[in-house]
Amino acid sequence: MALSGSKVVLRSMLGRRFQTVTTTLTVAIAVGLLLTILSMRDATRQTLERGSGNMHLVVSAEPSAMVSVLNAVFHAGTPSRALPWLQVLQLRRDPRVAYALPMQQGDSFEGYPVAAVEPEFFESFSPDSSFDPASGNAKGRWLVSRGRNIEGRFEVVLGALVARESGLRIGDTLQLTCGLGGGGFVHEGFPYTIVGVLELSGTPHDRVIFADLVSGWIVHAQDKRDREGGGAGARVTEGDLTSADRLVTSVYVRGVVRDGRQVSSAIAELASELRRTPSLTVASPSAEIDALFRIVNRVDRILIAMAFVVLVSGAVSIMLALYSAGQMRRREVATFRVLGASRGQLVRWVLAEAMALGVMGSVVGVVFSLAGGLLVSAGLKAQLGLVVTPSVSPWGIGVVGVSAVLLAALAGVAPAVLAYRTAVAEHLRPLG
Amino acid sequence: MPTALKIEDLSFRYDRRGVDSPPVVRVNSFVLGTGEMALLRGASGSGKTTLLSLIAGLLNPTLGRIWIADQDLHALHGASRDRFRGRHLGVVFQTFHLLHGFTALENVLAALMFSDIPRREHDARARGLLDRLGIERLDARPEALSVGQQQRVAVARAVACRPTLVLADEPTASLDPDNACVALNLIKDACREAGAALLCVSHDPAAEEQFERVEDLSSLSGRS
Repeated sequence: MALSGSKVVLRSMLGRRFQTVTTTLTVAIAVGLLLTILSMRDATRQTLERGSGNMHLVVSAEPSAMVSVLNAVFHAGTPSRALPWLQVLQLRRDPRVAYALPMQQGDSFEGYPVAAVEPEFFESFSPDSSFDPASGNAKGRWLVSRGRNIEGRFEVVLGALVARESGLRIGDTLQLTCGLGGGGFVHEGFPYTIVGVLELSGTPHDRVIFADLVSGWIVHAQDKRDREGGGAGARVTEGDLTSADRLVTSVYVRGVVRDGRQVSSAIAELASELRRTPSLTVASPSAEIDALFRIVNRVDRILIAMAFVVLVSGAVSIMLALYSAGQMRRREVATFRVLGASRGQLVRWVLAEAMALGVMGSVVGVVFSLAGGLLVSAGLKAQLGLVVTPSVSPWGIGVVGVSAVLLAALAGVAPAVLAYRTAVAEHLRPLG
Repeated sequence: MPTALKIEDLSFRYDRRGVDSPPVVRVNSFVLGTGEMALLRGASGSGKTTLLSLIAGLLNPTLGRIWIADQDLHALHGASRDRFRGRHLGVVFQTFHLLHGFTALENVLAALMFSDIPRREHDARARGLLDRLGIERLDARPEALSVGQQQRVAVARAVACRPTLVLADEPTASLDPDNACVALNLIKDACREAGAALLCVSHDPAAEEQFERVEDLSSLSGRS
């Protein structure tokens, strides 16, 4: 088969495999880093926005709106303060409120956070923001994929990821632990029965165990009585619960919306009124997510800048590799000139080699970014419960890939000039 | 008689600013007919290699002209001259200058890349040449070949493009007398077969016996 320019370039690259591999890896790491950051940023935002579902406000007693959203929506930590049940009732009486769904957090099972809610929670709240419980349309409603919803006391339903990862099955029983970390106080004597598994929603709620709210009050009231009585007292029943026992850590609030709309005009007015009560923290999840992203974007920009620096360093390493190869192989360049290669051909070969390194680095970088995305996504799931599906957009791949190849081509200019300026007669002597 | 090479009033001096350096090469007149073979002798440092570089179009003369196959070589510039060199000239170096990282076959194919021989014929021509010159390990890299085999590959590469003229620069300098004789015969046979003229420069007296025409570089410049 005849020799071609591409084969000459390939031979050149194979002739210095180590440099080719290390240079390709440098470019690949930069491309992978850039694509991972870009893809995770978009995917994380989508996931965070999905987490708040069809609610409009979170009302809690947390010290800040951001903490309120992180705890109530993303189950990131244990709430520090509670709201009285009376507050829930007041919200429910407000004609501007479509639903006010109480939640009590603070317990866990084997590291999975537990959210105690009323059985009606699943009829109204949905991770799908388009679901309007008042419309009568079931589209977008959060259903169980197996078993049934909570109907009685001491029943739980599992988030889809809890069911997948923990090995727990419908019919199994579990006892909750106080606090989110391991080693907490176990609420013994109150086994909960698993009655269902929720559909996968792609939100932090997938790694939550949803328990019956009243049962949670009973468990905590029993603990309180036992502590105060200095030992095991009489078993607490629903009828024994006082208003002091009926505490919630947050309330999901949705405003009344007109048909076909997802935004309530009255909700801003309601939020403003509620904020006048000093003990309440009223948070708009979308506003807090925006604020969170403004913080994250600053870090993003630094990371993207760093990745560009790595990309430029990759280009520099291409230049150094080709330049040093060019220095060592000036006699070979001179030989090609004697055989009839023009200066232009030599320049094209060097630039083609640089661009080939850029292309190979970009391709490997895309693979790196997919692996990196999976790693980051696993980390986010484990640490924050965020289910982020990393996806690299073709646009992102195109822009980063083309940038890498152009930078590589630019890096090839100096070595190409070296080849262009090789004095043939000088480098073919001395002949001995 | 058609000429492979014609040189007239050639002079070359290195351009050193502010210094009036003497000419390194001066040739009043030299003609090599098509298929003719000649040896150009000269002592070390007499400018033999510089003359070959001028004939190959790798250096530009200070004065004078060189024709190859009736083409004024230095009237061509840049890529045109490179293309012309690839089609009409073959060069055998003393140390062969084979391309490392390329196989024996690819070294010959490299010369064919720049020839006007159709690409579909390259492979068969390169294999045929190497076969006739006794190279069996076509996929071997130069470093895996003996010195004699490397020289054969270099000769095959020089004649691959069916050149008008082959330039051989001290082709026997690193060989013992017996192998020098074999090497020169190899080059001459290959040129004869390819219909190429051969201009061999050497300071080896034993090489003179191999050529009917022997010229002294100093006599060409009228300095003898």
